[in-house]
Amino acid sequence: MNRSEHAHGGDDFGGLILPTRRDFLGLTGAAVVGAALVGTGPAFAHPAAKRGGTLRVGLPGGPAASDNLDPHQEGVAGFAQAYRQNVYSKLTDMLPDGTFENQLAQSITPNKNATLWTITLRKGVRFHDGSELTADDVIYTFRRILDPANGLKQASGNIDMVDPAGITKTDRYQLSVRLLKPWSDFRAAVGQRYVNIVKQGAAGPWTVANANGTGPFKLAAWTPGSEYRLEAHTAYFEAGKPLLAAVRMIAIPDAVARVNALVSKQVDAISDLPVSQAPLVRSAGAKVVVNPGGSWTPLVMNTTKAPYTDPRVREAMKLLIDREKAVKVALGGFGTVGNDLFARYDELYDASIPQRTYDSVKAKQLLKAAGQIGTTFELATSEAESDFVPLALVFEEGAKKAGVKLTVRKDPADTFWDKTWGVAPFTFSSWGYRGFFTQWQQSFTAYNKEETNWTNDKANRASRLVSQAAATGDLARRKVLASQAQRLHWEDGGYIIPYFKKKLDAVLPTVKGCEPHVFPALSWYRFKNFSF
Amino acid sequence: MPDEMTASALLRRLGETLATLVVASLVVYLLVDLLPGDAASMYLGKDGVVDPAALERLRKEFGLDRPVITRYVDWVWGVLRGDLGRSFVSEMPVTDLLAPRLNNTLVLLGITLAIMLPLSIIAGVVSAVRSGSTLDVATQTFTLAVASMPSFVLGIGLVVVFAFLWPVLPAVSLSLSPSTVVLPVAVMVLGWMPFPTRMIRAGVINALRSPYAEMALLKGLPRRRRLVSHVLPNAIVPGVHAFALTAASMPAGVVVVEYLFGFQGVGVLLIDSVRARDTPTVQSLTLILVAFYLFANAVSDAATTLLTPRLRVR
Repeated sequence: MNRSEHAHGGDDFGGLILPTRRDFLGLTGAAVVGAALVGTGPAFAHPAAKRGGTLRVGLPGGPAASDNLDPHQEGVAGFAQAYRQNVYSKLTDMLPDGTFENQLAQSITPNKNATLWTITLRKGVRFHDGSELTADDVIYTFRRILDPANGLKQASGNIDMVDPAGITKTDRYQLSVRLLKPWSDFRAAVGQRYVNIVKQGAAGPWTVANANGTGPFKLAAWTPGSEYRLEAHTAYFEAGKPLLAAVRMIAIPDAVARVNALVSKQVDAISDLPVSQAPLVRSAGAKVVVNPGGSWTPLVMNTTKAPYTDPRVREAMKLLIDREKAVKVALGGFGTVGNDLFARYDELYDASIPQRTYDSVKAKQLLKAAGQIGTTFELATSEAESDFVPLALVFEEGAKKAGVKLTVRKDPADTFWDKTWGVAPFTFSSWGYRGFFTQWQQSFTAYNKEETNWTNDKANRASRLVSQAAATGDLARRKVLASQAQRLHWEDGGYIIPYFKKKLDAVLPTVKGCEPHVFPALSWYRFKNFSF
Repeated sequence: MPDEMTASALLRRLGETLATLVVASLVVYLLVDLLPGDAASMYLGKDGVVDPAALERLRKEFGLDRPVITRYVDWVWGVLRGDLGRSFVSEMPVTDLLAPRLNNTLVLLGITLAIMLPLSIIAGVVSAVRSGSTLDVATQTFTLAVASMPSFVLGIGLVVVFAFLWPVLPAVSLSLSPSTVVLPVAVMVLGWMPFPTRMIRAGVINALRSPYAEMALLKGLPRRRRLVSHVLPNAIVPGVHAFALTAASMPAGVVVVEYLFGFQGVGVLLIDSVRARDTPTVQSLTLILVAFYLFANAVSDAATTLLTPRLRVR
């Protein structure tokens, strides 16, 4: 996670196969608040779903200057995802429960040790310009994304295990992809946002005229930062989709204005509904969609900076936060308690590790044993994210109750990611949802590791276990290895993960097909399933 | 009628305006440059801290590795040729980003001024002539109450009444149309009208009480003619200044209204661009706003000169 990514609305679902459907339904059940929740299932299953109509969607928008049409580039919150998700397709796509379905791919199969993957494409898929999708387009897309000269950091980060020199066309509709390391999670990697398949030779400058995808909608008009107009792609490969004739995505930056637009029926759906507005939306007869969401806000301790070098101090800190209260105070109740482990919806998430709770007695014992009983700790917070400050206050209260001295330092939001994050020994971070392997890679071995700098012996042992797991095809074995790594991280790591955040959307009762999705928002913007 | 002296005064004023514009643009350019972080670091966020090489690459791509003065001169040279530059991140010409939003905001402000100007003159004059009457007290109380209300409170109040309780108007203004401008314009007119109205009222009351006005009445001039030909030209000068001040502050005040009604104007664009440290957009927008401010002031000065014979012969 990083600031730009967060500004771009960014939840990323790296990660292997996610929870089982049953787990997910259980979670969703907990996420359901009141009868207003939408749970009607995909629109096509709905008897009343009819064809046609224009869906008007209110999104927060963002700086016009950052808005862009490059299918592999970051853009602005909501718009970026919704445009790319509907105008383009990927090889796979994420379902509401976090598992991946084939989209442009017919099949994606590995060799025995997951180093060589064969991708067979659906036949007869048409781009918006009428041309047919072939293996050449996929090869061109991968090479464009991976070429460092193009600076497509987010997109290339998702498929950085691919060897650009090892992509071979084996047939008009088939290619093989050699990986630089064994990666059993490849189907999820190619289903990440920004890994959109473009026509061979497609290049910038990106305009409405050359926004040529295979997605359910064509881009008809674009006003940067203000509005996107989409029209149904009649030759879309999925039979009977899309149901809508058109989609208008409109920027309404202010949350209250967004709610007003929905309640007065000027738009049919909005994303990023503030918790405080949910009762109003319900009382006006609209539906609130509660997405389980796996975004998390950790308190991060730099394990190479005193006093957090001592594992006993780290454990004590983990015991000093009242997690239930944190959910209540910082999230208005819209969250689930965390256990200092990430990738909540990944099937590798180890739920059998005991839930950590507030324990002032044990925390003080640990601090005493570490010789830190009189130490004043300092937690650096900021308004860079809306829940940083309330979370700091909940932590402060817990520490105070235990008689541990703590000062909360508030740094400017503007410079938080430059001057505080990665510098202060005890501060905050913010992550969107990622699957287990992707998150592990980004937190401990790739480019965000200075957050906790967890590089000691236990960390190395844990990372070796994770590498072994990623190279293992057998799920049971993979679970055992991942679980051992998580246990080490839970005991020794530098993250305090108090909760996972739920995200809210709202739709008019006439809108069908918007079901809760682990990826916020609006059912991962899969407008092909929406109808009236 | 303006004579030669007036013409030269106006020319001098124009020269001053241009000089101010240049100074303001330089100050803004340097200030944006002084802000912590630049477009490249804002774009990369945390990644930029972690990957300094990527940051440097992007800085080079955006041209941020060149000295600030070089960049400023380049930008000015572009502006003189009608090229406001390209936005760093989207690579869109700034003119393309600006044009639709500037159009929206100008339409909104234009309608507001067109309603506000005659309305506040009429309200001010009527209040002054009927000074102390029920109508005057009611107008004064109402305008004071509205003026002391923050525009977002006023706006939400109007939305609740006219979009929800009695749903005749749209709650948000997602596009420019006759029905969508009503509420935003109403908020601005109600919020900004009181100041010039009160200035005009005070000016007219003052002038009515002055010896020359008394004299005109004693010489048998009809009240209406005395008001239109003798009192108003003298009483309106403070009102003109109030207008100029109000108009000059409009681009700032319009931001709140744009947010409240989800209106796609320049106010929201400016805030977003500052956040993204997108200097070409910030700079071009600021230039337009400064020009607007100076223009409003220049118009007010010119009007004052034309309305005040004393200033014309000096």
